[in-house]
Amino acid sequence: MSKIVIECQDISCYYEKAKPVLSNLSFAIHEGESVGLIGANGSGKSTLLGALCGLISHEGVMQVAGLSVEKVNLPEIRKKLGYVMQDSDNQLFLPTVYDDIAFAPRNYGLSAEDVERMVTEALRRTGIEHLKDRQNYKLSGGEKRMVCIATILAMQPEIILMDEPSITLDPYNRRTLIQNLQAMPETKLIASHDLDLILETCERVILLDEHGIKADGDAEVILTDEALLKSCRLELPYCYQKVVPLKKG
Amino acid sequence: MDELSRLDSFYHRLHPLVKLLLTIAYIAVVLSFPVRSLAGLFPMLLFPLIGYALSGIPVRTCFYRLRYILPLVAFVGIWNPILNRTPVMTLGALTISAGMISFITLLLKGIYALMASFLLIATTGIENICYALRCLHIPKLLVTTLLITYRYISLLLSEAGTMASSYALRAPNQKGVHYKAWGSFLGSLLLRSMDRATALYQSMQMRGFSGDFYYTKGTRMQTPDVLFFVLGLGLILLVRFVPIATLIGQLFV
Repeated sequence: MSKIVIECQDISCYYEKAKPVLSNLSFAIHEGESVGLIGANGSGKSTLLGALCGLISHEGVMQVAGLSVEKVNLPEIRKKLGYVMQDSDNQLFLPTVYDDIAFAPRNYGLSAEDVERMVTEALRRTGIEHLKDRQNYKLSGGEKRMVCIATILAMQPEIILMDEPSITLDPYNRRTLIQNLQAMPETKLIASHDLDLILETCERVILLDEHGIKADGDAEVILTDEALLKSCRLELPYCYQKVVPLKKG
Repeated sequence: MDELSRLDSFYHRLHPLVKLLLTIAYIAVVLSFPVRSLAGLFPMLLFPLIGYALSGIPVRTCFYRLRYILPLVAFVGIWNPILNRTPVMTLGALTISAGMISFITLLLKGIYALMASFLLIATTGIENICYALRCLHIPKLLVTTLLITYRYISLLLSEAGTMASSYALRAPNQKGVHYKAWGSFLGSLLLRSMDRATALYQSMQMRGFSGDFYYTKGTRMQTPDVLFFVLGLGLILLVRFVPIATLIGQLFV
């Protein structure tokens, strides 16, 4: 078995005292694994991702890339961790696509040639080379989403956390994203309501409900369990739902 | 402004430090003119005009973008003509008061300063200006604060725009935001902007930002940069200390 890159033991997160968003959560993710994080609205998916990045405080033992998630280790952890936020507008803040993608490599002190190479590679992987010199505020929602993903790829992280990556994407871009995710060798933790995307990109699923883990296991097993999904206010992925025949004529 | 700063011209290509120093020198010299030195102030328009011509940015772009600020400049000296009516000259039937002269002088000083500042930002970009400030050993904290404030202003404006659109869509018969809603509107704007600013800051942290902002790496100063600086500074000082307007006037007497 490959080494563990994310480990949580009895993790709890609070926004208000006595009202835990997550309570006594324990799981481990191995290197190279692709894990889907699913659950109804308010089940704590984004909170968990935020806690793993050290953006939200937590109780319990949490380790990322062998380092305990605490203030002193955050710079080192964040070098190895890429986080695609739910709202693209919160992630893009520089004038052009190029500047935003180059932000992390420049911050890590890479040479101009290396920055150029990493930006070009990130643009190529996301299929948005044509957006290179465009201004962020003039992009469509879907284009912004792809740029957000490129900003993370340019960091060449070992672990990628994604919060609703397919939101605002058109079918073509969504398909490109799925293909990219399938080709990515990095460890991935993808929080999404797009269960079809999870099914196509993740071999394992963690289902959150009632502040804790309701199920953790094989993606296909969990995502075909209609009763389990319904009990957590979810539905079967569309590909498993009854197909309505097209009207003729 | 970011779009303008990416144009390509001789003035755009000048080293950011040269443009910053010349702008500071120009504004300082403009402000140093006495309150009633109207004749001396007119030729000072030369420097920004040359800058705009070299940059390819039309002067009207500056006035258009600054159309909301310019009335405030006029407001600074608006009471002078009323408070100081001492006549200083007559032009035919028109008597011009000292207050009027000082008002026009203040107005020109404000307009010149704005024109020069706009030219600097529109041809340099905020990151390069910050780089130039660091070259002058301005503390990192101040420079980073300036940069982030500049970025957050656009955030605040974008939030305000979204909220105003949302309000207008649900109050189609109303012109602007009703005064009774101003309190909750401003409160929401503040909270939303703070939320977005926090999220943005988190995004920066996640990509290696640790309070030490990356600034555009500056190129070394070249001979044309030094030459332009010397010529520009020479022109500013020449116009300040040689009464050009008076000399031209004497030619016709």
